[in-house]
Amino acid sequence: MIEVSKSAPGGRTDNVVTDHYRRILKKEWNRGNPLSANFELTFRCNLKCEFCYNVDDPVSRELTTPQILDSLRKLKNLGVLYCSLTGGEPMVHPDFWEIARGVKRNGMALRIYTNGCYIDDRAAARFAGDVRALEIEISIHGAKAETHDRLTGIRGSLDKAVHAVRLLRRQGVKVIIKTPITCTNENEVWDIQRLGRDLDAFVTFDPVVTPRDDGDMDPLRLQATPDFLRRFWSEEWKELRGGHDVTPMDHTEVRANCGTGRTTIALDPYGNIFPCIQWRRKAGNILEVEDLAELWQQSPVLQEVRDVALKVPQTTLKGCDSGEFCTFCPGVAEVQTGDPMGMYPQALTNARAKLKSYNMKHNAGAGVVSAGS
Amino acid sequence: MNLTSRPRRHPDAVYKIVDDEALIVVPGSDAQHLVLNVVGARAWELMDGDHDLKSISEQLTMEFDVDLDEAGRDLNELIADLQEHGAMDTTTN
Repeated sequence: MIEVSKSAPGGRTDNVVTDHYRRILKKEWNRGNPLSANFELTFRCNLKCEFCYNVDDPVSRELTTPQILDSLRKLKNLGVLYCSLTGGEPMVHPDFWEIARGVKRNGMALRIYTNGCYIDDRAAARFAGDVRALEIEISIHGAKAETHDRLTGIRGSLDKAVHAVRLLRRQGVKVIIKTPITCTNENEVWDIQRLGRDLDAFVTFDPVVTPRDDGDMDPLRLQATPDFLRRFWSEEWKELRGGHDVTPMDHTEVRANCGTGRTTIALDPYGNIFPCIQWRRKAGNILEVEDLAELWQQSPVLQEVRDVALKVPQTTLKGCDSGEFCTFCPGVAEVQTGDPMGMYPQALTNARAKLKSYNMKHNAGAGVVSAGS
Repeated sequence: MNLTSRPRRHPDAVYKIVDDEALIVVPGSDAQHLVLNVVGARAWELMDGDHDLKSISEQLTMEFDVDLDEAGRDLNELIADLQEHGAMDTTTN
């Protein structure tokens, strides 16, 4: 009569979820009900990462703490189950812990994206107890201090990040190390992987550097080299990708390019509502909306981004020599090309590297289109 | 558990009801995602520390095609399963 199904411990990185869990996610996806929220508490940060995409708005006022707490209530009413507090650096917010407790009080699972600099013994204990975080994601940009600290612009920041991971793991808090790959750290990825193993934390690598939200392309000069990307997507380096094979997507099966406007609601420090943290098409402001569900279902902006996500596989990706392997972000495309369906170089470079890897593994040429150089 | 026990969901566990099924997230180093079917989801909602096992079982027999014995047995199994995954508050009964 009563049936319980469960995922294996771990979550996103080990990719083990039951069919029942997937089925529920799919239902919510089809309905466009967001299960997750990304809440940027502030754009202030103690680090000066060269590739950061955030752009502070000197004119707008950040939400007050009571406004943030009320926003959490609205997110809960929308049906959000996972709430990520991010920034900037979320822990520089003076009322960070009150807000974290607010997430828990509203019955949402708490995730934190942080650089780890503010996590000491007491904070680690609070994440394990007081606010009971589901997981903490900590950015690590190099296995060597000189690499990490050079990218963050602050000496000593790697030591603090590593110390934070240790303290959290000691408290039993799940930690995911996030590493955006750049030409500066690309030679240290295996060392970072080992560091993660030593610290008993998952490591996720992101090989795509994006422009700043205001269209500044400067971070792109830090992109990983094409040589590195070819290695990254090779069969031999599968371990760095959580063991995932490079597989083509079937455009006849893929209904939408991504879950933008469906799976995750994003809020910036001023209360502006976006379909995704990467695609800052403003759909409204949370201070002006009581019923987020109404906005989420009826906003023409959100309808448009959902339509774009549906069209991309049939247009942009179909018209590309390696489209079956392309991880495409309409938000990045819009910032970089002015067109949310316009192909941008990083997506293409990665897709071609994946295609090459796939062909090497599966008899080159057998039913797989070949990409240009 | 005896019929007068008042099972309570773990205060750290969060959940969402989707089409009468419950999606439950249990934070911790072995974070779990659990899915309960419609009967389990109803039992989960009733496990608020106020209802005792007897009243939960009776409620399930009223709402679903199940007799009291079966409801009681399944409920005990469910609670044991949820306890194993850290989803129950074991400090109170």
